[in-house]
Amino acid sequence: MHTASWWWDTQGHLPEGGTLIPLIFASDKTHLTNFSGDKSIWPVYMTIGNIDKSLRAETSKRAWLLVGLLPCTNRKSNNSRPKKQTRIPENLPAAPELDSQDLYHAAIVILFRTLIYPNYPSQDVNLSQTSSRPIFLTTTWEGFSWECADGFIRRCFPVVAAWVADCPEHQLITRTRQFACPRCEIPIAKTGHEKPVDRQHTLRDQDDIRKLVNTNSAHSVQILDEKNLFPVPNIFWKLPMCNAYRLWQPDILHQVWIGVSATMMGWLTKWLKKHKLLARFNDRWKLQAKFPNLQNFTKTYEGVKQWTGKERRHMMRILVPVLIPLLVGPTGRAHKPGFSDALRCVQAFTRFSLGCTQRSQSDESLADLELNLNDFYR
Amino acid sequence: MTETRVHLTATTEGLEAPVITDYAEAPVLRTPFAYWDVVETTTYGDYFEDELIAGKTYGKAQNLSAARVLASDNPWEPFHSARDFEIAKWFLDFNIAKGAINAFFAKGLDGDQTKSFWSGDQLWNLLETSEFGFGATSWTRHEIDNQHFYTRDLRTCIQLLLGHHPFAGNMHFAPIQTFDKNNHRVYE
Repeated sequence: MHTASWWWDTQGHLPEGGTLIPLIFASDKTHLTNFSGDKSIWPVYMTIGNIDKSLRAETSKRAWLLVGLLPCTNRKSNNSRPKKQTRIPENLPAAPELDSQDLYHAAIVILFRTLIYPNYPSQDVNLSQTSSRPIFLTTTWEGFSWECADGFIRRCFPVVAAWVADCPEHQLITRTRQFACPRCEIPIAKTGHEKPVDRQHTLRDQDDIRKLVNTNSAHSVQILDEKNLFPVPNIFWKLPMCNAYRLWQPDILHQVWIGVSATMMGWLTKWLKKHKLLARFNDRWKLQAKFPNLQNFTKTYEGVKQWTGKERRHMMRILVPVLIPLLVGPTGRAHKPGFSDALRCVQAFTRFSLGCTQRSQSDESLADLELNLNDFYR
Repeated sequence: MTETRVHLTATTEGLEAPVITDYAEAPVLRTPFAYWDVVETTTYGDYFEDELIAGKTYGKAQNLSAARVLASDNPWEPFHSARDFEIAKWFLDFNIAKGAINAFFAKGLDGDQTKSFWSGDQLWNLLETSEFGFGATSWTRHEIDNQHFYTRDLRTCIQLLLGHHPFAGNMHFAPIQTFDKNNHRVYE
């Protein structure tokens, strides 16, 4: 994480000598049991970006801490209709009549209260006169003098950097409407149909949205409505240097394995059925030769109800070799319209999905990923 | 479509691998993904031609668990001795039940030599309170609108992770930029 641009850029907003503590959160609502009443649990985990990623990725090293269990309700969220202006409760007890969205944000306020309220914002930092670098803009704050593992005290500035969660939860965090993008202002009807080359939709601007919500006029509510946002304040605006609309960082499990690969396989099986190739595809799928690191599937793709991320990864490894002989080969099928397109689409995504799992990327490999992505959407 | 010409060259040892001479129609293989060798590193301070301005240290830590351990001359803290530690580790490694641990001590099988704990509950307490008192007591229960939820103090959590001695060699306190030999930025 320390080699990425985000840390470099954010460091410029800290006072001189400050140490950035990037906070990474992860949460997911998990269903426990149907017996003895539906039981769900909504754990929130946290780690810090200062720890090297080789440690962070190992579960046995305990780099992740369980920091909260959020309330799980069966209450409906008022997702479909525009919401009334409600205030986030700053202290207990909260206002009555909270729907599931307000409840989530109220719980987040309490979770973050030690970082937001007691000393934030405390005193002005008098480092701005001597330095020409940009001073901390949203609020000035002292930082915490915390002791680090190497035995030294540093002036630490905790900043929420990323939140690992699925799309519905990010819509909850950013308070966007269902099916809308938490990051940019793409209209709902256009999602999923745009090539990455044509991306022209502006990213959501936190300051703009905050101003519009605070104005609270009929006009501003209408603008927010067009952007698929609820006209309610958001707790994440209060966190220093945190942009609620950028918390959704690339997430290989949810976006690549469970997301696009599932969609692509849906297209592919439909398409193969149309060309009467599905039976041959399934035969080849099941007859995959045994080899270390390759999983042998005993069921066909459609025969499996639920896929785990690991299985999807194995699936992408064998997909291209299974598919190629059906589409190109001695029978000259490649000349059928659409065959080469389908193959190119699958190949591009396979290359993308396997490439993006590399632990280190360079400008070159990122450009490569971009090319593959454009190939996939062509 | 140009045909790819393949020359087979026979030598005294046998057939060599076919040499493909015409690459005109061969598919362009893109760069294989690999680990990128970092040859150059820029630290944040270098960038501004300044002294180290990111991750500056402000004196020695006093209260870290590692510092406490060194001060007390007992490397087995919170355990009394190496023997206590090994017994506790054995209990946990082999998933010994609390009741079995209680029976173990009740029958005096340890020869009354264990000084840190004498029952399963005491062992559990010891483990939970060993780091910053970060056990069951670190949880706070809240209630909003008849809904219950639980949180921990984020500051304590961050301090615990930041000061966790086993991570010491793998911590980063300042941003850097890394480049490979073609002067492309490398992200790790």
